Amino acid sequence: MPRLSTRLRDDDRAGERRPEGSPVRRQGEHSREALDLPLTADGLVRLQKLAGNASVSALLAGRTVQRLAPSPEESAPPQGNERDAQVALAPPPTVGEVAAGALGAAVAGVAAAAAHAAEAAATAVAENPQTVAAARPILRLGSKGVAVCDLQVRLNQAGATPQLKVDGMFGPKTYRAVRRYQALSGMTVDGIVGKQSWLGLGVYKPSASRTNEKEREEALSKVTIDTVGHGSSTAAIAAASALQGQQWKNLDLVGLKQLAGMTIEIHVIPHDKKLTDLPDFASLRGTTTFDGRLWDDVRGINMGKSGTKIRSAVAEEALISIRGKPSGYGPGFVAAHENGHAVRNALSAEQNTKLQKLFDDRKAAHAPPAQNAADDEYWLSPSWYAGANSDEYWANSVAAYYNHPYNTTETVEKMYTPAWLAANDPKMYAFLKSVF
Amino acid sequence: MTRRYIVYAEDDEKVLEVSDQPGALVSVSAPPPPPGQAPASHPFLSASAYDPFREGALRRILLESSDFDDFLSRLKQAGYRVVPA
Repeated sequence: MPRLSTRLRDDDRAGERRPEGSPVRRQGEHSREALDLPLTADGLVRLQKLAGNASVSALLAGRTVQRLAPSPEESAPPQGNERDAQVALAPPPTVGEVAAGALGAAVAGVAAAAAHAAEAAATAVAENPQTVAAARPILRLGSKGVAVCDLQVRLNQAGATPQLKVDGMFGPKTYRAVRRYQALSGMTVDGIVGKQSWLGLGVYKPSASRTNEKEREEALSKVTIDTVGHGSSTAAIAAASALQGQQWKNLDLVGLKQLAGMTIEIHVIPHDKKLTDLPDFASLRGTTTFDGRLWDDVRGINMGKSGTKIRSAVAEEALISIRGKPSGYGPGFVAAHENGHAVRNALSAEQNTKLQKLFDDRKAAHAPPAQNAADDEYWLSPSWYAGANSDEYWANSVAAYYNHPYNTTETVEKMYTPAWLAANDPKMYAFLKSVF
Repeated sequence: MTRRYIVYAEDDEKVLEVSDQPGALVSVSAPPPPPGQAPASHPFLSASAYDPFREGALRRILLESSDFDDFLSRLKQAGYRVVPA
C-alpha cells in the first residue's frame, strides 16, 4: 500500500506536537521521527488531525513515490478552444501534493475541499496504485476541488497579486488571477484553465518525452523528496511542495537516475526566524557570503549536494504573502532559483558541458552590455547575476521557465516566462525542455 | 587577455572561480540580492563563490589583498589550490 511519510523535526517550535511516545531529541540532532501513514481516507484524516490547527508547525513532508489521478468528477474532457489538446499526460498531483492540498484546506477551515482531496487521494490509490497519466481538468469560474487548490498554489507561485487563498473554490479572485496570468503569458485571455494554462503553470509535458513513464516512476521511487516546514504555515509548505512537483518530478529520466538514493530537502524558513535559526544551517551563524551579506539575514540558500543529500531553503515570505514582510522578490522566484541550482546536481556530465557552452556562447554574443540594454542583453549583463556564471544563468532561466519573475516590474515579468525564453534564448529554452 | 582561475579547497571542493576583470562578486549559494540592491562589485576582480561554509573566510582573504596577484598568493598561503581555468 502506498505510504505517506509524515516527519516531525525536533526543531519545530512546540514539543507537544511530537507524537506520543516518541523519544525526546537533543537540539540540533539530525534524527527524525517518521510516521508512516497508510494513504487511505483514514490515514489522511489522521494526518489532518496531526496538523490540527493554524498554529501547527509539525512538518508535513510530501514523500513522493506515487502519483495520483484526479477524482472522476474533476476529469472533465477538454472543451471549447482547449478541445484539441494533445499534450501529454503530465504528472498529476503526487500523494504529497494532494495531501498538502488537503492539509492546507483543513487548516484554512475548508472542510469540503479537504475531504475532496482526501477522497481523491484514497480513490485514486485504491483504484489504480500505479496511476501516472491523467489529464488535468478544465477549470472555470465555479469549479471546486483539489485541482483548484493546485491551481491556486501554482498561480500564487506565478505571482498572483494579491495572493490567493488556497481554498479549492474557483471564485472571482481566482478568475481574475487566471486572466492576469494568461495576459502576462501571451495566452488567450478567457479565464478558463485548460491545456495552455496548465502547460504554462508547469503541469503538462510534451508527450514525446513521456514515453518512458514507467521507468521514470521507478527512478522517482528511489528518490526521497521532503519539504521541511520548521513551523512555517501549511500554505507555505504546500507552495514549496508544489514547487518540488514542478521541478524534481518533471526531470527527464537521465536526471532522475542521477538522483537514485538521494534525499532532496527544501526547508522553509519561517518569516519570523533567521536562516541560521534552523539546525541544518546553524553553523553559518555569524559568517558572511562572499559578497558580504550576513548569512543569518539571507532568506534562501542552496547547499548543493553533500553525501546523499541535496538541500536548499527558502523564506516563507518568498513563497506566500506575509503581511508586513514583503520579500521584495517576485512570488516564487527565490524557491525556483534556489531549487534550480539544486536541480543542476541531477544534470549529466554531457548536459553540464552543454549548459556551459550555452552560457559561453550567449555571453560572447552579447558582450559588452549596452547602456539601457535591451531585454535580452540585460538578461545576461555582466553587471547582473545571470551573466556571472553558468550556474546563475541556469537558475534564473529555470525561474523564467516556471514563470517566477525576479521582481514584479512589467519588464522583468515579461522576461521571466517560457514565451520570452523561447523567443529570446531559444537554445536555453530547448535545453530546459529537454531537462524538464 | 583575461586571467581566470578555479580555486579548490584541501578536500578538492571547488570553492571559487575568479578572473582579473573588475566585476561582480557572486555567492552561488545565496539568492541574488533583492530587487533594488545592486550586486556587490570589486575593483580588481570578479568572482563566484561555491561553498557557503568557506565564503566568509575567502572574503576575509579578499579584503586583506592589495591586488589580484596578492589575492591569489594569499589563497595559496591559506592552503587553497589555484588552477588556471
